[in-house]
Amino acid sequence: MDGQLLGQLAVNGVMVGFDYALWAVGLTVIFGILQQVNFAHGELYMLAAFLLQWLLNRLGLAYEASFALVLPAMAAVGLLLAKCALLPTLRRPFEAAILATLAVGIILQNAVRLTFGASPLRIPTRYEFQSLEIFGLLFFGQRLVIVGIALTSLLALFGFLRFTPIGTALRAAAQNKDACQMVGIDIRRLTLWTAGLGSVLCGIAGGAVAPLYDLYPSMGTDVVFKSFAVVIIGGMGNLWGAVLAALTLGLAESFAGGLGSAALRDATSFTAMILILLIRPSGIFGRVVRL
Amino acid sequence: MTSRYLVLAAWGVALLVPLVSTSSYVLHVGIMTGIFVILVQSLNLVLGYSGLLSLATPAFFGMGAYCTTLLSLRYGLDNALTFAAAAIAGLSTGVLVGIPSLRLSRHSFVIVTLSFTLLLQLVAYNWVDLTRGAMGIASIPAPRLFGMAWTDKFVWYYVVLVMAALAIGVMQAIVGSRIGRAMIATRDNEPLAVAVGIDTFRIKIFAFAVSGALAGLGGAVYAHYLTFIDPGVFGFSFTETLLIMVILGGSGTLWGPVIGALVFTALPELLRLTPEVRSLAYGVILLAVVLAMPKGVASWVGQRLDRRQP
Amino acid sequence: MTALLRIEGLTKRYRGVTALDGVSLEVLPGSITGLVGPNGSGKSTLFDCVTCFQRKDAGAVWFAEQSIGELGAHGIARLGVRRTFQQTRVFPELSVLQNLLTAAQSTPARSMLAELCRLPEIRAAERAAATEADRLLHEVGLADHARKAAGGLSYGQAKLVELAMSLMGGPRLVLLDEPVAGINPTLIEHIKQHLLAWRARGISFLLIEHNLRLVFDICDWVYVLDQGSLLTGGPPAAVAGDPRVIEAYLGSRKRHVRG
Repeated sequence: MDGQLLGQLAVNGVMVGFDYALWAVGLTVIFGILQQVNFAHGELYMLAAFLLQWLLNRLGLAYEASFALVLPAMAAVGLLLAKCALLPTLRRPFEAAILATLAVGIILQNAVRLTFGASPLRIPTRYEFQSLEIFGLLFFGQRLVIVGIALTSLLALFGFLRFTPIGTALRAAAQNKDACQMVGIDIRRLTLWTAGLGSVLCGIAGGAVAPLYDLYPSMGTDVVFKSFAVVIIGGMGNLWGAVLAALTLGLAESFAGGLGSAALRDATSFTAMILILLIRPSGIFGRVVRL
Repeated sequence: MTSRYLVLAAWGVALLVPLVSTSSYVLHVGIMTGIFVILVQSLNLVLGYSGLLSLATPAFFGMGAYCTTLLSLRYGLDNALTFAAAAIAGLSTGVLVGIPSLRLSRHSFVIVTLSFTLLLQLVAYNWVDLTRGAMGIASIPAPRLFGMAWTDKFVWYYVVLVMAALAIGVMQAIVGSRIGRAMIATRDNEPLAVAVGIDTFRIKIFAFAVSGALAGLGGAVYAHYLTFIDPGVFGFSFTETLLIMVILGGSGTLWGPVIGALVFTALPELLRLTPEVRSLAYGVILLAVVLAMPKGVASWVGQRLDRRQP
Repeated sequence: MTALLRIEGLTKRYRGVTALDGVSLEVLPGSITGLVGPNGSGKSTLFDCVTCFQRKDAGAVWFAEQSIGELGAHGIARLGVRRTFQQTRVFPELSVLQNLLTAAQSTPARSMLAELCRLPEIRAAERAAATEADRLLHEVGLADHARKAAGGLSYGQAKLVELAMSLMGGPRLVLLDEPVAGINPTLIEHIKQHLLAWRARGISFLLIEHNLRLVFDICDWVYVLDQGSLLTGGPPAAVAGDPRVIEAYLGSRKRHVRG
């Protein structure tokens, strides 16, 4: 076996894995804390990407500046999502939250479609054509940027959840919402925070990963599918589980595609999900709320 | 008892439409409505009566569509056989999807049913030898039922009407039986259902099986009527539309989703909405209904009327 | 007399907490057996493990000399062991009568198709169930509410419906989880009389209750659980006077110091 090839496949796999990790993080946070599955997750990512593109294109801002602006915008979108779909369904059976977020997703997707049209757009960045070579293995510019952003965000998220009062309240809510209310924590306020946080994470994912691909209004579907797969494999609500699952999935897909075929690669995530569901339904790391 | 007369009157109107109107367009809307009536019963059985938010309906629908298409094109079989095969394909898919999914937590269940649908779409795109991938399969032959062939919309209308009546009939049989009661019990209080001896897993699988058969049949009719299918039949837009029809019409009632199907097939046609605007409107309506009228319009109206009585 | 229900060494652990620690007890046929103990002593968990609503970690359960440890929860119900729940459960969208009919349909027809076609044997079963439901509803005084949606009942009425449901189909053993919690004394007295009448007809009960007066009044035998272990078991008079039981309920000085 060609060591070079294997090495490159491994590198590619990890790089893609970080894409997936960024994709899945927003979903994990919202589910982990609110126990609501956000079916608008893919559309949040898509919205962030289109927003970034608009800032770049229409306002002529630099990639980095646009990226920075997208984040607070996504936080606002998150609050809107909470107000429209998450808060009203907080005390209702969970299907209500799924249907409500689904509806918001449909609205966002078609609003973007009507505004931007259906032809694919691109986000050009200066990292596009840059690459690094170490030990004969290629590392592409934008992918390194993604890894950097992913690691920074994950550490920041960890720090936020661990060391700030709000973060601690969020972790408490993840463990026991009722107990939170008993000690005076306002669940409604936490919901707003969580939605904002989840959306910002989707915004980070969009800003970092979207430049790699074409932008089109239904791009959220792939994101949602992969995110679901990662979250199910890693364990719903488990942050580090999701990251590990994402990296593992990226690696598996890379080897499946490189040594097998494109179709095999596409089938990997689904096969992995099915296997996990049959063998260990609560995910590799279980419903251990490790935020 | 007035409702019975209303139902009879509605069937009467439905029977007379093609005799009154010669417009091909009106017949088309009628046929599409009939197909959706079959599909909403499929979703209503698992969502409305069994309380399962399954996003797998397109999976059964698509399987039925491809099944009849491939059997007709490759083997030239009579469509009585291929339609039956489509229903069986749908039924099997229902059982195969249901068995692993139903053992999961309720959140995972929703996600996995969606994933199965996406997977089938992926397979349809990639197994080009079988499905011609994204190009789809065109020139699906006109159906031949017991030797009788037709392309005339007039005949299609009545065929679809009969099938829709069949679907409604199946629903009525189930809902009026002990199985229907067991489904409602499972939906409303599963631990209690189990505690009184109901095998809730078997009930849910049954719901999936029948739902799959109905949607598979709907897919078969769809394929032969439109004479073209592509992997888009596994697409999410069907789920959107069906959810609106069932939830707005009245999830868990027999006629509510039928009315939903009527309204939401006819209305977009009447309003000549572009697909994006229509989907956007669906999103807004779905959100409004989920938040304000979770039991559907009929129930909401009923509640308002109750309140006005002394 | 051979026990109707025999539990041996029932153990259930959660992460770090042993909810049931090797509990063994018996319910004799034609008796009302009480299961008491302070909150958190594992009584409802015991019910869940016996009826397979939760998996036990160790121990064996026999009903009428038949091991029921491996049956599914619904299978145990079909065998003739019924239960109620701590939070009263009914089917809110079905009428009171339909609730009872649903509770009686545990013997399914040979096939789903037979059910759908409503073959004569099924219709006969339905008629018999309707008669039984009618009788039970009259007995508990809810005949006037037969057509009312169960979701619209008062708390006390819902408890009666749940009770009636557990008796549909002629079970041999009914596990009642706090059947008189939160209801007024008059209704408690009614339920007490019903339980005595039903016992006279040969139905056995295992009763979890905090209303110790009721327990000591009607039970033939009482078991006391404390923190997952069986403290003692005996005739009501003996148990009532047992200082360990009193201590378990009121708490000892050791516990106060820790708290």
